[in-house]
Amino acid sequence: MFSDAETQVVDIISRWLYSKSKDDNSTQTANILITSQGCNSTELAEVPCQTDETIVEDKEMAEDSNPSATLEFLLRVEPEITKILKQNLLSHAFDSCSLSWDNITPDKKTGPLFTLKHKPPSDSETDMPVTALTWSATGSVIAAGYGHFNHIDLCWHKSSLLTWNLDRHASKAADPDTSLLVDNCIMSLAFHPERAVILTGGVFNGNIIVWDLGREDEHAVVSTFLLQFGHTDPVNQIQWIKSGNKSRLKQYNILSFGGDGRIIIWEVELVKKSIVPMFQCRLVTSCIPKNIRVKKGRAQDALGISYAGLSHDDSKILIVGTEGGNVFKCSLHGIVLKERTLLDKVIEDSIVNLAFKPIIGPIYSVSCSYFHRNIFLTCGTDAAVSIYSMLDINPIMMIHTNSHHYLFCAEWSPFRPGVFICGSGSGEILIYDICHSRHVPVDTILTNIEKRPVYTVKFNEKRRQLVASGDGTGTVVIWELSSELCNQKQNELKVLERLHANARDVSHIV
Amino acid sequence: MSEVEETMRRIQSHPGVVGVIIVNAEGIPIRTTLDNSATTQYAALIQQLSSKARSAVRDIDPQNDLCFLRIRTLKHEIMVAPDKEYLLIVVQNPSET
Repeated sequence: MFSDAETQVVDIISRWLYSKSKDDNSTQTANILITSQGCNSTELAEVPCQTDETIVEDKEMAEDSNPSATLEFLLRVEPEITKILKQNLLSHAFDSCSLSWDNITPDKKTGPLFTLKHKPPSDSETDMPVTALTWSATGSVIAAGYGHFNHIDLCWHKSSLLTWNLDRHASKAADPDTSLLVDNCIMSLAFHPERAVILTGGVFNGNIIVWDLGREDEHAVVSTFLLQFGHTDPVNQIQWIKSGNKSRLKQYNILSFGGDGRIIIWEVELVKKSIVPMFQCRLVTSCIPKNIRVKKGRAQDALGISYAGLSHDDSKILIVGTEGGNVFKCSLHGIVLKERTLLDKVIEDSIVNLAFKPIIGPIYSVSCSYFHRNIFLTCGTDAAVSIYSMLDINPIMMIHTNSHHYLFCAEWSPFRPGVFICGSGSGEILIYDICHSRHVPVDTILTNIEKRPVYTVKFNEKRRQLVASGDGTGTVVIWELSSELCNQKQNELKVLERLHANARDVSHIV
Repeated sequence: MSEVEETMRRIQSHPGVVGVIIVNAEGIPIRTTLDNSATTQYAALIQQLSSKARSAVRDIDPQNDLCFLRIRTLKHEIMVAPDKEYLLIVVQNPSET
């Protein structure tokens, strides 16, 4: 079981360790040089580029402290004043006097000053037409809204809102100052009448947005997007109107007109970012008197509003044009502004005062005269401009254009009583002067060689020689009018007066 | 009706007269036939203009003085009768008959 084992001897050779040779050495990097250098500019400069709001000081009337002295003064100057007042009526001293104060060369022809082009976000996209234009309160900024008119169902377009400041651009084809993306096609735009950075617009899905262009981050301040209230169809026209409210921030309300036939007044508070409906009414078939109703419809069918214009004499008088070709005079006198909710009944008392004789096809534009309280014009698919008096349901004058293209826009000049401008479906701008000729335009300008329609024209109310046009190629052109077209001549007002008076006389005889 | 109002009515009743304003020495309107905003504007601006005109006349010849100021515009004629204490502003549209 046990046996002696003999194991082999194993030799293990010792491996002596030798001490490793070591050497002391040292290295050092050079000192990192640190120097301090200031890189701030020493001078600060701040350049504001917007004008201040004009605050009109409200000086109260003073008490007449010394009526007897006032009377004495008045009696002393009365004979002299009376003499002059009488002389003035007979004097013809200034009849042929006309001075041109503006620095416009007299023989200059109407021509383009700036051509502003919108570049579509991607190459695949076709040119987006300009749907709306508006000038700012100072007259130096133009804002353009883009969109399509050929919607079949919902709007899936991404549109944009661009603004250009004409004073800032030396170059002629400049990039926009502001470029904002909007989720739907923009249908209407309006700058605030006093605050040059506030802009409101209506879009295709019925939303109303207010932008503050002076802000650095979120430009859209207020939107009706989340409200359970508002237009259900495109907001085809939008305007600011005086609210009659004394508080300065609330001085203006927004008045919007929708394709759903509704007219809504909104109170906006930009500080609180709130927008509240204060009044709404609907235009329905029963607003049209039976004798001028073209087709039968149910009395409560809405009449889609395609355009609306405010009277310049009384901002509570509106002229509303519908998609069915009807034109109404509406009055906001006597309406009650109070906060409305969804539960409020939608149809209020009709604000329609008068229905004018309709045309066939939609009304594309309405414009009230700046010089005569009763005169306004409309244009549409009948290729004619109809001039109406607010006192008469028939047009007092029809101006037929030579072409048979639709007229998409027309506007009275704010500076010449007899001048208006319209944009046709063939890309032409026609300038008429009814003091000169009632049949032939005084000037015709082609805006684009593709002959795409001119959808909108807007006069600049501050700079008399400027007009902006927007067309189907997405180009905004700022035109400089010849001095003849922007300076009023003596006795020109009388032409308009006479036209109105004559038409009234004739209509009485008929 | 006071005699002041009566006189103002008389001036206002001339053909084409748009408005009549009396302004005191401080440039504040005391009587007017125009609306509030137009009155304030006319009063403030015309008062400045007429005192400027007066100082121009007196700078040219210290013995001379301004006695009447007429401004012809495209639409109106503005007549200003200055006085030590008061200013009478009458706006007329001469083409309106």
